[in-house]
Formats: sequence, structure tokens, C-alpha cells
Amino acid sequence: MTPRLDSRWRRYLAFFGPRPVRDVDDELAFHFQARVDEYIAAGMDADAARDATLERLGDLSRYRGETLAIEQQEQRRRTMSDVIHSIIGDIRFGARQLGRNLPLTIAALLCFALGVGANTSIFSVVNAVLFRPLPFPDSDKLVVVTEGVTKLAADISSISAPDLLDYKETEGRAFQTLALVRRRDATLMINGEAEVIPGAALTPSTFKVLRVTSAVGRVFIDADTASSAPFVVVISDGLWRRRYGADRAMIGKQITFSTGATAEVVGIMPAGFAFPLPGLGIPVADIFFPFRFTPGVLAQRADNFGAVALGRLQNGVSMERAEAALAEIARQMPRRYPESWGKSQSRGGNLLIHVKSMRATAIGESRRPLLVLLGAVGFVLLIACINVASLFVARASARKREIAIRKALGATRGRLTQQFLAEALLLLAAGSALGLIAAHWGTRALVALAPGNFYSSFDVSLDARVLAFTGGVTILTALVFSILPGLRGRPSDAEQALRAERSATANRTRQEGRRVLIVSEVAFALVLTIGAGLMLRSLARVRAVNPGFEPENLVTFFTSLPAAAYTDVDRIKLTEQQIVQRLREIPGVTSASAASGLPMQGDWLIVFTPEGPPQSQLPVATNTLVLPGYFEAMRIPLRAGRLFNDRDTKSSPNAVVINETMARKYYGNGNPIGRQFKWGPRDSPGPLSEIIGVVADVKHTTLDEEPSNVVYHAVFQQDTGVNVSMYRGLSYVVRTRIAPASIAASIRTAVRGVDPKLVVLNIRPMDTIVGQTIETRRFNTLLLGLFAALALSLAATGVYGVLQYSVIQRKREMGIRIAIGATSSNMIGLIVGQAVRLAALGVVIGLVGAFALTRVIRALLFDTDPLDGLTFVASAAVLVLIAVLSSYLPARRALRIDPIIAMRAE
Amino acid sequence: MGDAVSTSLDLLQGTLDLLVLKTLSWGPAHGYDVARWIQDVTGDVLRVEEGSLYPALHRLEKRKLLKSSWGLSRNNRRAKYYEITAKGREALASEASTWSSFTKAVTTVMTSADRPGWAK
Repeated sequence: MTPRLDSRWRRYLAFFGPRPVRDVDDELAFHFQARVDEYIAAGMDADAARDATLERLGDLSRYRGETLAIEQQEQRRRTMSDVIHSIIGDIRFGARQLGRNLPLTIAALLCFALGVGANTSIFSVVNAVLFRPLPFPDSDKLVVVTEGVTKLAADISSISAPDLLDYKETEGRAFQTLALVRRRDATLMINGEAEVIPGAALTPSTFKVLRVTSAVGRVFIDADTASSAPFVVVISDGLWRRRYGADRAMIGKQITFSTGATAEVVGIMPAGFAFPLPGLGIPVADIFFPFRFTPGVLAQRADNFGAVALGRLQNGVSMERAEAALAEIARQMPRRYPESWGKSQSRGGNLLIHVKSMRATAIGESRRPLLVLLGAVGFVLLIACINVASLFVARASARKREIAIRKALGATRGRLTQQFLAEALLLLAAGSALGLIAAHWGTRALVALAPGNFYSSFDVSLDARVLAFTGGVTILTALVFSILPGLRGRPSDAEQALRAERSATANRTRQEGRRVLIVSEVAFALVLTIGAGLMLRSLARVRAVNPGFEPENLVTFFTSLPAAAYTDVDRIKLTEQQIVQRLREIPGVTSASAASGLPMQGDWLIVFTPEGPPQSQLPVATNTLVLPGYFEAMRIPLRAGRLFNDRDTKSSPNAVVINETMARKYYGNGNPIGRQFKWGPRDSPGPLSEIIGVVADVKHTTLDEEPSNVVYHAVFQQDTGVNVSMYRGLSYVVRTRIAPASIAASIRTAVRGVDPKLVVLNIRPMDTIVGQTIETRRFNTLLLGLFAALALSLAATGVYGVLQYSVIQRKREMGIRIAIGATSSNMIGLIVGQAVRLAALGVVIGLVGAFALTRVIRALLFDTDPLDGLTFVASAAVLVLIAVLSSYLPARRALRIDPIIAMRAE
Repeated sequence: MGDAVSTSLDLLQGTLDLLVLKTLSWGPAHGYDVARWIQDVTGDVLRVEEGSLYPALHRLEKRKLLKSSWGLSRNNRRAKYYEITAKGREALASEASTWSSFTKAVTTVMTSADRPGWAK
């Protein structure tokens, strides 16, 4: 060893290792004292004894010197292996100590594992969504391109499909590749059963943008998009396994749709592939179609905004530059396409283009709820750590004697710290390992249960950051807990502890420590409970929102009249009328009707022109085509005028029904009945309609949305053209007196009675559909509630543990009280009263904390004040109640103390 | 007190080691115990300078013939206890046999009645 290393070892060993000078002196001093004592016992006086001993011992300074030399030489030769040996020894010793008090060890283990497991689960998701890149190669270059028109009174985050072909001019310069994605669900016939599969139509360039390819077979090529090309599809790994039994010969097989059409499966995507991203507005698809730029699609330039455009930036190109490049093309659009964009410009203003990172779009609204959950679960961990701390402290008190003895035997402070650190690390590492295993399942459950499969498009797997996070928490906790017992007490305490004497001051500091533990646990648990309570209140308020119609006892289903069999528009309308008629004839049905789209099931936005002067912004409304009797079946109240009836046909004047919000906004003065409405922009060639009725507002996407404009048209007054596809498939509503479940069969019979080939899909009760719109809110509330419950049980356990221990420690005092005549109610009052006082203090602190913190979740609440009084008071009451209940058992124990035994025990 | 053979500091180091190993072969003990036992067994004839035990004990420990641990004595004082190792027992056996041969040889010389050739 070089001299420098040598001295570093010396310093380490000096802190952790033995001290030779002191040890040798102690050894000689012991011998000296023993001899002296022997001589004194034999009758010599102290001085004579000392002289005799000195003579007997010989040249002490020489011997001392020799011995010291041997020891110091020995110490220089101490190597790394000795250090490791001592560490291993500490670990074994620690394991033995932990094993000695198994219930305590297991309790601490479980508490910590729970805290770590919950935290790691949430952090994995937070990590995946907020920190990690999307699971595509080089994903920071992926962007979303959206169009907007300056004067549009709505926020549309998509593009008009044909425009992509123009933007493709930037490929090779600002962009490597651009692609288009559009939602396209499909109804497959699998084993004779119809199933709606979420799907998407993609341009073949999508795979180049994402840099992914199929696991089996191939992906789309440009040839697939030709109008004469055979129909091909690519399916997801999930669909392949779920529905086709992971058939190895799937490639090349034909699959059938409910319309009778077939397509060949040319590829299967790999197992981890999840696209599109829910944050983009299109759910994760199981089946993919090639996107075809048909004449129909191209004709809808500047009119139909339903597709999402993706791009991969060229290396070294920033989003700003790419946006500028696209904006240049956008500026030319009115000149290139005067009929569509030209007109749009004069009406709606310039075409705007916006480039946004795909990751930011995918995260969507989920950042805040995730961070709130992370904070909440952090509180749980804190409470768990406090529990573990109190267990450690209790054990340290019991081992005070052992600590003192070891100090007497020459253990340095560093040595003791190392010992306790090893023990703490052992326990906490085991707890962490357990927690990580639990987190594995927890994370999978989170991803699986999250509404809308939101997290499945992120790469949620254990990575270095998560492990570092868990490891960091563990080590930090271990350090804090091991410092406590090792460093507490000055050397003189050793003597006292050996005599098993408890001084008054030592008792008091221990009491303080226990009180702090209870108070802080109660405070943390309260904050969490209040947060969960607010979310619960908010959820209840959302659920109580009137959707504008009556979803109870309402059943819906969807059926579409296939284009092949139903070419004549009038025949379509007639058939639909027949279906409704048959539905009305089912016993137990009070009313039935149909519409092109129902509330909570997505909306179809159109531009319209109200009567009156030109608006500064192009008005936009949700449009629904309905059959007569729709409003009655849905029980949407009429506010003015009348509803559609059988006389509103092609031959009668065009009629529309509007909702209250539109009436107020655009027809404010006076009665809108009889005034004009136009579907489309001001100078479009479409016909004018007359407003015949005003109905109440209805919630269209979620219960907590702002009111928006809605217009209803009659199916029977619709023409051919593009709109046929909008009412070829209708959603039917059936209001029944009997349970929805029993009516499914009758519905199928009724529909098949009109045409046996029709497929009835998605028979569902309306209130289930309404419930699904608040799924995310409900999920987050559930999680928060779970954490609050966890925190409460941990806090209850903590309070119980601390009080239980306190009763045992104060046995003597309790014994005295009983001996002097305290009754059982006095004793119970003492313990429970102590718990309540501490809980009350914790509640006060927790309330202050809650005041400060709940504003953080304001954005997540609906119609609920973050300082809602009822929630605060109720949560505080719950905490106090829990403190009382947790103190009950320890109080009972106090009663069973036999005063005589207790007083003698010390 | 019988004839005290005063041993000087120059008592062969090896011999002291032998005595210590033998004492500790009965069981673990601290330095004072060793001194007392030697004193008792020899009737205090062998006056070992008790301080010299300690370099011996430490040297033996360094040679891994003994191992030490700290403990509390009967009256709760900190004391270092030594215990003989397996290697120590082997060394003891071998040293004892050497000593035995040595003493036999010395005794043979001291009690021999054979006059050497060069004696007058």
C-alpha cells in the first residue's frame, strides 16, 4: 500500500475500527486493577497494594510499548477484506436482531413495502408519460400538424385530408415524411358474431414516420392505396391473439366485415405497438386500413376536418422552421384552390398551420392528474416511513442496554452507526424488493384499468430512473433511521443504561418523539383525506349534472343499412321508419326513435350561418339528423315552438330545431321561431331552413362540458349525396318500462323482422354510456381514494403502535394510578384523551397544510371549491375518530395492568 | 514460599508463549486469568513478570494462534478475552513435544554419570 492510501485507511479505521492505544491501555488497566483488588482483599492497604502490583507487573512502559507496536503494525496490514468481513458480520448480526423480534420486523417490512410499491407504480406511469420519449425511434422528431382558420369559432385540432398532398412538398427539406391518420372503426364478423373493432385509416407513409414495421407479413405500400387495389388490412398483435387465436397462417387470409365485404390480412403489428395515441383524439386501433385519397375525399377540401397529420422532422430542423415551411404553402392554398380555400379565406380568414410535438399532444390533459397522484402517493410513503421510524425507535429504546454494553466494549460511534445502518438497509432493502414486485403488478393493473387505454401508448416499464428513485428513497430512509439510535446519548448514558435506570429527562424526550410521530401522521393523513374527499364531491357533482335528457330506462343500439343492398335513399328512410315502428310495438316499450349521433357518443360539427349580419367568427354547431319522436323518446324538453313530426318531409319546407344556447347566442332578441338558419357558410349554395322549435341544452361529449350550439335536422328532409352516409347507420333509442337487459332479444327480433340481414350492434343502456364519459375522473378519484384509505389505515396502525408501546413503557405510572384509585373510565379517558389531543393537534396542522395544498387540484375539480367546508370538517372528524378507535385497544391494555407487579417491575 | 526461581526479563520468549498456549488450552481467559493460573499451578514458583504476558498474547494473536474478543468481566468491566485456535492447538502440541525433547536432553546431561574424556 502506498503511504497515501495507508493514511486514508487509517482515518476510516479510526472512525469505524478499533482504537489500539485505548484498547491496550484498557487491557493493562484491567489487569492492574484486578491485582490491586486482590491484594486489598487479602488485607493490604491501597498504597501497598499498588506498589506490589507495579512490582509484579514489571517494566510496564516497555511492555506497553511493545504491545502497542505489535497492534499498530497489525493495523497497518488491515486490508479491504477485513472491512468487508466486518460489514458482512454487521449484516448477519443485523439479520439476527431482526429475526429476534419477528412481528415487529414483518410489520415494518409490510409498511415500507406498501409505501414503496404504491410509489413505484405511480412513478412508473409518471415516468413513462411525462419523462420518457414515446416508444418510437427518435421520437423527439415526431410532430403533429394541425390547421385552423382564423375566424373559426371552435378549436379544431386536425386537418382537412386533401391538404396533406400539398404539404408533402416539404418532404426532403423541412420534413422527412408526412402522414395522415383518421379514425375508422370496423365491424368484423368473427365466428358468426359481429364485433366493433376500433380502427384507423393510415397513409403508408405513417409507418415511415413512426419508423415501425410489422412483426409478421408487411405494412402498407403505396400500391395499396390505388382505387383498383384489392382491400387489405393490417391488424394488431392484440386482435390477432384475442380473436384469431394467434393463427400462424393468418397472413393472406380474408376477414369479413358486417357489410359482407372482405379484406386480406397482409400484416400483423408487433406486440408493443399501440397507435394512434388517445391524446391525439383517436383511440388505439386494432385494425388498420390504407388511407385512400378518393375523389370524394379530395372534394372535401376546406370542409371536412377529421384527420390527424403526423410528420417526422428532417434532422436538424426545428419545429418553428417546419411550421414556417408549411405556412408558406398554406398561404398559397387560396390561390391553388379558389373554389374551396379561396372561398374559405374570404369567409373565415387565412389558413393557419400549427406544428406541435407529438409527445406534448399525446400527454394531453393528463399531466396534472398524474402529478397530483404522485404527490398523494408520496404522502402515503411518508406515513409509511413514519410508521417504520416509530418501530425502529421503539426497538432502539429496548436495545438501549445492548447499545450501552457495546459502547462499553469499545465500539466507536462510527461502528455503531455502521451496525445500525446495515440493519436498517437490510430491512428496508427487503421491503423495497417486496415493494418492487408489488409495483410490477400494480403498474400493469394501472395501465390495464386506465380508461380509454390511455397509458398503453406509453412505454411503461421499469427503467433506471424508476429504480434509482426507489433506491434513493430506501437509502435515504435507512440513513435517517440508523443515525438516530447510533448517535443518541452521550457516553455517560452508557453507565446509566447499564443500570437499567430511566432518568426523567430520557423519558420525556422519548415521549416527545412519540407525540411528534402521531401528530405528523395525522396531519399527512388528513391532507390526503381532504384531497380525496374533494375529488369525491366533485365526482358526485358531475354525476348529478343533468345531461339534458333522461338516460334511465333508455336502451340504445346501432344498425347500418349496407350500401350494397340499400341504394335508394327513400328505401333507406322507409326501412328506418319501419324499424322504429317495430320497436314501438315491443311490449314494455313506451317510445322509440333514432338519430345520426347520440349524446356522449361523439359529435359532428358543422359551420352554419344564422340569420342576421355576418359574424366576426364563423359559427360552429353540433349537427344531428333525427327521426320524428326523437326528442320525446329522449325526454329532451321543448322550450318553444314544436318538434319534428311525420309531416316534415322532402316536400315540406326545410325545418330545423335548435337548442337554447344557440337561440340565446345568435337569435337573442325575440323569438327565434320562424327565423332563418343555413347549414354551411354564408355564400354556400345550400338551402335556407326555418327554425321551428327550441329545445333544452343537452350535454354532448362529457357531463362537465360548457354549453355549445346544437342544431337538429330531420332525416326525412335530407337529400342524397354525402349526407346519406350520415344517416345510413343510425343510433336507435328505446325507452322501456322493463329492465334493459331483458329487452335485447326483443330488439334483435324486431330489427331482423324488417330485414334478417341487418346486424344489431352495441345494445347498451344509455346510463352506462353517460357513465363512461366520466371514466377518467372516476378512475382518478378511485385512485386518490385508495391512497387516502391506505394512508388512514397506516396512520391508524401507527397511532395504535405508538400508544401500545407507550402504555407498556409507562406501566409503572399506570400501576401507581390504579393503586391510588383511578377507575377504569379514568384510565381509558387518560389514554384516549391523549390520543385525541394529539390527533387534534395533527388535525390543525393538517388543515393548514390542506389550505395551502388543495388549490393544486382546483383544475381537477368540478363545481367544487378547493376549500369546501363540509369536506374539511368531515375529514377532520374521520381522523379524530380513527385516533379514538386506535387508542381503544391500548387503553384496554392499560386497564389490565396489575399495579403491584407494575411498580415492582422497575 | 518455596525456592523462587526468579525469572528475568530474558525468559525465553518461546517458553512464555508455550505457557500461555497451554493455559489457554483449558478455555478462553483474559490476561489476568492467565497470570493467576500460572501463579496458582506453580505455587508462585514461576514468577513471570506479568506485564510481559501482553506482548506475548498480542504476538500469538498476530500469528493466528489465538483470537480475541472484548467482553464484560464478572464485575462488568471491559476486558479482552483470548481463545486458542485450532492452529494454536497444533502449535501447542508441536511446541510441547519440542520442549519435552529439550528438557529430556537437558535432564540427561544434568544427571549423566558418564565422565567425559577430557575431565581430570
